[in-house]
Amino acid sequence: MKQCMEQFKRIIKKNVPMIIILLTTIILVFPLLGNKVSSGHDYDFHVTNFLLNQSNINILKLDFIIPKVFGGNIANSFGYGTGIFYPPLSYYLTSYLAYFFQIIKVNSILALPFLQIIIFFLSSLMMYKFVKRVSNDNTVAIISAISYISSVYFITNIYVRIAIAESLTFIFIPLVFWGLYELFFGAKKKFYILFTLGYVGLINCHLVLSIYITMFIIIVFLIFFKKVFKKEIIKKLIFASILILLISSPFLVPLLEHKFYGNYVVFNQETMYTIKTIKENALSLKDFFIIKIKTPNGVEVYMNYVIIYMTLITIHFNKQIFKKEKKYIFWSVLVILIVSTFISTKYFPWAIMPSFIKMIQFPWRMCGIIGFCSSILSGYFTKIIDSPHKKTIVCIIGLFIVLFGASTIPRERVTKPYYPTEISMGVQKEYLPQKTIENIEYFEKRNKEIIIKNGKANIDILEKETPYLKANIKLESETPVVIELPRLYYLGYSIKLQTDKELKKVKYKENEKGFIELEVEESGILEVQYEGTIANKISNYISIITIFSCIFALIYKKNKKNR
Amino acid sequence: MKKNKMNINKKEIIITIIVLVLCIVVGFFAGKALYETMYGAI
Repeated sequence: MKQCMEQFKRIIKKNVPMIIILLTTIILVFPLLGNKVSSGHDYDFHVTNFLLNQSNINILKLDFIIPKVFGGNIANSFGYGTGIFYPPLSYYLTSYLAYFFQIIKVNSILALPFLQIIIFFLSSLMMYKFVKRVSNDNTVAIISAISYISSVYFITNIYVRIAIAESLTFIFIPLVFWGLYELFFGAKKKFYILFTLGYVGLINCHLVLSIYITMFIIIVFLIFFKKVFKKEIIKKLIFASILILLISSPFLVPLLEHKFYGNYVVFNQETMYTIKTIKENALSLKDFFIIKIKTPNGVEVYMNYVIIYMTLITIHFNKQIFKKEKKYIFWSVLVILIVSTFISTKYFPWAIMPSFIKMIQFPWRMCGIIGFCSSILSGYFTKIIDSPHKKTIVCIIGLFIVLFGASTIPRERVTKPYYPTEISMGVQKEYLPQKTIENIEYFEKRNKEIIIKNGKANIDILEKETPYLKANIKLESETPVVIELPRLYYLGYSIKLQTDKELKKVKYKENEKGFIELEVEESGILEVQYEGTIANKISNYISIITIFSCIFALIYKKNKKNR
Repeated sequence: MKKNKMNINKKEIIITIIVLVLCIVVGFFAGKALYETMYGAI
């Protein structure tokens, strides 16, 4: 019995970090377990997408891929290219969860809160692992992990903004920086795995944030250029970057193709943001400190007071806390913290910034990075506690951090399961062709038939399951007809006409309303499906080959080492 | 290193799982008590 108790105690001691992370997560996700759910902001968009896309997945029939052009009732069933422009990780994860929930007869709408719970837990865990590696101190790592998920912006992203994609980045940000730590101070092999995994995750969650993080990393590299600009380091960074780009190419290639060869709302600066809207969403310094009872859009940007206090104390005592190579860590984190705080404010010269910087739309998005940096620094606060009751003090501090975080969770929520009030295409309908948004009335009132623009023909639609379409076209004269398909224009459609003699590919173009227009010269069966562009197909293969090569290389190296 | 991995005690794993499950249960009730104090009925 005594032996058993001792073993029990030993196990508890060994698992203290995991127990604390679990407890914190459960306390912070508790409202997600109840019978109420947050709605508003991106809720309708995410739920619409995964409720629709779960039907595209069927593991038994080997259907693993969600088409890039979304069907269903989205965009009046004209085929909406969310998958081309929107990073895939969030809708893949929610759709797969919804699919599995459906199999085990659980309401698939619960996939959303379930994923949010996983995000809470994994973000905290990754932050713990990262800071544990850097500081080699359990207490520092635990407080950082707690602070990370108790930061007000993290909670706002989950509970108010329902920004699944942005929330997912919180899992990958620690991985990227952990990878960089390994590159400079640790095992170089680990760098490839962590850095690549982190960046691939980031790019496939939120492209704008990954651009910003790259920018921050470049700034830090420039500051410590003597340590960074070595042949060996640069070589490894370039190789990792190539791997990241190759693995992420199935998302990046079609996105760039549509940017250069198409005209879509998402790339139109005037529609997506103006200097005025950016400045409206930029913060003043007092916004970080004042708890607003009701902000116009419900987004809470103030900082967790306990974390602010601890961060400031850590900065003040930095010379005692950070010694030798740890100084680099401190200054890197501090520089990123200062730069991201500056960017989030209205004092940042937004007017003269290039468009890729302004794509952030809401400067308060930087609060995610601010939260990440301040969590690391607040963890180091525990290093200056010099008392025989250190454990008790740390426990109380941890409790205050979590309680502050929990108190920022909004009360006003609706009863679940709550179905979206509208079939959401995104707040600005940003994935429509620019010509469609300019003729939005036509788009809203257009019927779902094939419209003859020029010539005479008899057209019967045989099958339509957006984006797929099959129609029988009988020309009434020998002159060709020009038709408009009930499909929005995106690159990558494959249109074929089966005549009596042959099967031929038909070229299509974007018409003045942003729909697909083509010329049919002979009678036959017209078949339309979305296959993706040639570059997209090639990038899919390249990505799969790269992933398998990386796995193969890892296994091969491990086996070689074991021998 | 390899030998150590092989010798992981089964009992230890079971106790670890029990501890983590207990922790989830405790967390659940702590969360419930906390939010009921803050919000009223959840």
